[in-house]
Amino acid sequence: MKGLRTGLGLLALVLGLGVGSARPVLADDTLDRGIGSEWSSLDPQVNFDAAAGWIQMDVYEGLISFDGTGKVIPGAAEKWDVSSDGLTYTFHLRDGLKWSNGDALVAQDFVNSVLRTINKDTASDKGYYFSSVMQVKGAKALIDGTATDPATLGVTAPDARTVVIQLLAPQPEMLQLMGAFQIAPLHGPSFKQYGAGVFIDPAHVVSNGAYIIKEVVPQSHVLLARNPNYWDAAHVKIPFVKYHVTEDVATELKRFQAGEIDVTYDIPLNQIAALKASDPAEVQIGPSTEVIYYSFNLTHEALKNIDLRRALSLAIDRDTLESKIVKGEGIPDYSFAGGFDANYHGPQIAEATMSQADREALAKQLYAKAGYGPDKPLKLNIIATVAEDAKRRAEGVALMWKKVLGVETDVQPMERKAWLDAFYAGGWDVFSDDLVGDYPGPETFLAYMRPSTEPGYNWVKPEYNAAMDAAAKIADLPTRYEALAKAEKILLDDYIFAPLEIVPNRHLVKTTVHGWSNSAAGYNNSQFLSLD
Amino acid sequence: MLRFIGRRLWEGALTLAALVTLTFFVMRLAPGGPFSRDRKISPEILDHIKAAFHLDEPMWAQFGRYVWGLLHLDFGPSLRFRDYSVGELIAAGLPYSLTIGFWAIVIAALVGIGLGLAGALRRNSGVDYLAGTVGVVGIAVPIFVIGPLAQVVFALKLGWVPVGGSDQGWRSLVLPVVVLSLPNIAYISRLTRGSMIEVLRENYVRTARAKGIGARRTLMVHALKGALLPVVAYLGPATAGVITGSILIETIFAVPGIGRHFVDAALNRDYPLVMGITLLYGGLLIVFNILTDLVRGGLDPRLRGHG
Amino acid sequence: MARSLSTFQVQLRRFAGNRLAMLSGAVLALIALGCFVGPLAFPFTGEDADFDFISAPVDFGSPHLFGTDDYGRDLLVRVLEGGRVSLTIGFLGAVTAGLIGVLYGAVAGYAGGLTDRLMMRAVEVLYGFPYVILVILLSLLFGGGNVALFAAIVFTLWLTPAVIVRAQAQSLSRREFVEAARAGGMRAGSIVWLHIVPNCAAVVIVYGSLLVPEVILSESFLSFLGIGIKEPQASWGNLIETGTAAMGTDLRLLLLPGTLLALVLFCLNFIADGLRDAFDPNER
Repeated sequence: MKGLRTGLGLLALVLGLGVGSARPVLADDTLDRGIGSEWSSLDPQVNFDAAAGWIQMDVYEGLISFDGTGKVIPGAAEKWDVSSDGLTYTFHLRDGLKWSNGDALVAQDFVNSVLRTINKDTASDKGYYFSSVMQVKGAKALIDGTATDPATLGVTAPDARTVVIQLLAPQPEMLQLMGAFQIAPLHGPSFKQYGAGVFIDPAHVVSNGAYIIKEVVPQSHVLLARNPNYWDAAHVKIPFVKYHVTEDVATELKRFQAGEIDVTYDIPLNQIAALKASDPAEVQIGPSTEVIYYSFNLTHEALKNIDLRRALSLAIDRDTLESKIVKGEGIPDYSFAGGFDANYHGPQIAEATMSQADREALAKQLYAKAGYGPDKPLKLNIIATVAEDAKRRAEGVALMWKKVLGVETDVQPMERKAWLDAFYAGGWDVFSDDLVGDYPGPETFLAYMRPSTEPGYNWVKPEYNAAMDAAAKIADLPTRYEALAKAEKILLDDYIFAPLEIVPNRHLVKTTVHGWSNSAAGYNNSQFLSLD
Repeated sequence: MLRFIGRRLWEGALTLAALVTLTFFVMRLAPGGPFSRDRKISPEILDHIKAAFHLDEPMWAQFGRYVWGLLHLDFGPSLRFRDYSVGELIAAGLPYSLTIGFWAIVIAALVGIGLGLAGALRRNSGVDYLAGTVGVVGIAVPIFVIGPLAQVVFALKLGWVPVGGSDQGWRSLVLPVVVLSLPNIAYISRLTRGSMIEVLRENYVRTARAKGIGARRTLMVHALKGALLPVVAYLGPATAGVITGSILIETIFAVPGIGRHFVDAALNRDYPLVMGITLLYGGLLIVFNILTDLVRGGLDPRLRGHG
Repeated sequence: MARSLSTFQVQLRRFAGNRLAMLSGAVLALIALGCFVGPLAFPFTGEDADFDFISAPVDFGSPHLFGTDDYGRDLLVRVLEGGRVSLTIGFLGAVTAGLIGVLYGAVAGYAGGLTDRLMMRAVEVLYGFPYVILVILLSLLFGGGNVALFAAIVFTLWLTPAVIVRAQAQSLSRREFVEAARAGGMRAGSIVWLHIVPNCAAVVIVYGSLLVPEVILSESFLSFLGIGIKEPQASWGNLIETGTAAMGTDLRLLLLPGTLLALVLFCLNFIADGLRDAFDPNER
């Protein structure tokens, strides 16, 4: 079969037919969207990528969904109830839901999806979300094999239109999590017949979203067409959506300018200013849920000194760094978990309100107090990735440390896997770090800093764990946020890292595309958009 | 002749076996793994994933499993592109790389040899300087400069061809083919010119020329044959390289070929994909070297039965 | 021809007679001198950033003759300093790779038989080995510095000259003058050194002049894998790459380093031609 396909390709070559269909790229009925690198999987129980998540949101519909502004809206479930202890979520499905092939969609399809995700044969990263993040009852035991009966899972379908999810601890952000990590239903018959290959097989894949998969070409594109059996099909305006793999951001920009792509995945850093001046209506930039911070290695003798860590953090002029050096429209940041969810009023580092000149003066004092100066300069390395913005940022920080404090910094860019490995290997003084939150709320960030979660930070702080544990027991969101703010204060006061910026989502959107909005969640489901 | 081919194929199989073994074990020395992520997923789940791809087994067992698969024409699953096997990824991408590479090398060989000969026969003439300039530009202006430049001029300004992608049939192929052929034109024309000048000075050609008998025929038959020897030696590995795709061309022009896998598979530590791509390239290289030696035997009778 | 002159002197004299080659040599020397000495004439280095003076345009009245880049660093000084690094690596890499390739190819081609076959199969294995993995391992081994860079460049670059020279050597070893030397009892090593290598000189010189730019440009690809020249240090490879990215808005960033590189290539081209003519053993 594989040989046959290669043979056919060769035949086409000899006949001079070339490859690819002759379909015009920018037909008026097709929305062309860039998604950066290729999706790692279109299998809804396996996919872990944010960008592939956009395709999944068009093709499958979870119990709940997001609108363009990041608000949770009803999806397959028309309404839901939460028990007063915050431990039980009951979702009521819409009446008459259908799969794309006309089969009836039932509550058990959602339960089967969760069961398949945590099944070890599926080998899915996503199982982690049920056991560790949402803390669904029974999930952990099923994953590590201490339980085998699927009935012990806290996701059940008491009748065809009801899905019940039971949690071990209150999770006020449950709906956000379910939106960010979509629980797509599983169509049993097609999966049973064709196996996991069905999800990339347009002839046999069955889905329940606003669109169905028409064509999949690896490294090239996924073409979607409207699903006539979708419950809200009458309001889906764009007939076709094509997601293009756009590996190279400069090429993507040119394809956008040539009209081959309507919505880009990103904007080249050095073009943002020019594009904002020439085509302001097309430039769409807003905060994401990614924070960039420089971690200090607490096992290194010099960096055990909090004065020194504080001096290094204060010597960085974040405004200049982001606006003049990185030029990626990042938002200068003085906190860790704040700045994403407007309802969370968390702390900033103590000096955030000072002017940069005052901060630098204080930094110099602290640096001298720690015993360093022109005769005895501090020597550091920064481990960063080879990504353009990461390199620029590291260079900029090195320049500032040199200028303000006289620190001698060696920037070491590495390819991504080596960089990930280097964190745990520990040969770094300063690690160019970043964290993508699952949702805008603070807890997804703060939970990551618990000493037990990430062994590389070597930060021991029982007070922090206690504060986080206290917050985890609270089901009411505003009260929980207050408790979390107390925990973040403990975190920031130790200066174990220097927060630098909140990374934005950057897109170019043709003015012919209507209904686009920016949100931290980053979803703009094609069903809510329209084309001129 | 047949015996020569048979022996070379047998040697090629041994070479390929050595390449596979070396790559399989050395590749694992690189830091990081296919499933390292920004944040650690829970150990039980990581164990499930590793077990599903047999990465928890001892190295020799993994190697045995891989070789056993190869003998059944199974190149294993891709670890980065979870929906596909390595065989499927190569089958999907190869036609694109092959088409672009094939036309690029054909154009490069024709234009390159033509320019080189013209330059050698009319040394220091206008043709020679033109050929020299094309050569220098082809080499000095790298693909990552000329590619974007060509996109701006021919796609954005003139609108003759698309910027990238693969959905406009032959029109999508024009820019990648032309840009990929440029550096090869440069190399081939320089090599042809150099060796042609050399051959023209050799005694037998001088004699023939001095006698003035059928000078043209002498040139074409004898001189050209000799002059093409180093060019053919260059074309062997170059063709294997070009038809398996160029990372730069495929990235710049968004071509869904297999050239990108050469870099990305290694960066993603997608072990089976690295192996599959290495096998494909190594195999083609060996085949083209055999072809090269055959062609050279045809060009230079002294080499026959030697090799 | 006067017999009192050694062959080498004759060759040198012949080279000196080639005006184009001599002119190219002078231009190349001038560029090299500019790169190695030029930056000293400026009050700042190419790594001094001036955030108040970012992306300044060309202005021959200001100290920044060709303006600054987007860190506020002087473009001309960076291009000259980058030339130091790139020319050094380019020539050193090309010469090393060329030398290894010529010797390896000459030995294999002359020896023939099993030795040749083993040597050429080894070349195929090295050709086939995934380059990115190799680079990652080298950077692990040598810490991503200049040693790793040099190793990564030379490791694969000598293969193609080896294949080309081997092809040449193979046909040479069947030629009358080599047969005569062999019949005369000359040792194999001497035959390779005195007859095979010089007769491959033409193709090697031409190919070698093509290697220099390849080395200079491949350096920027390697920095994408985290090995080699690191910012803020400039090199023509990374300057041209940055320039390409900014091509749409500021062509100057690409033109200055690009023109210099092209100029070096033109010079190399003519010098290689001159050398080839001068060293041609048939031209006696």
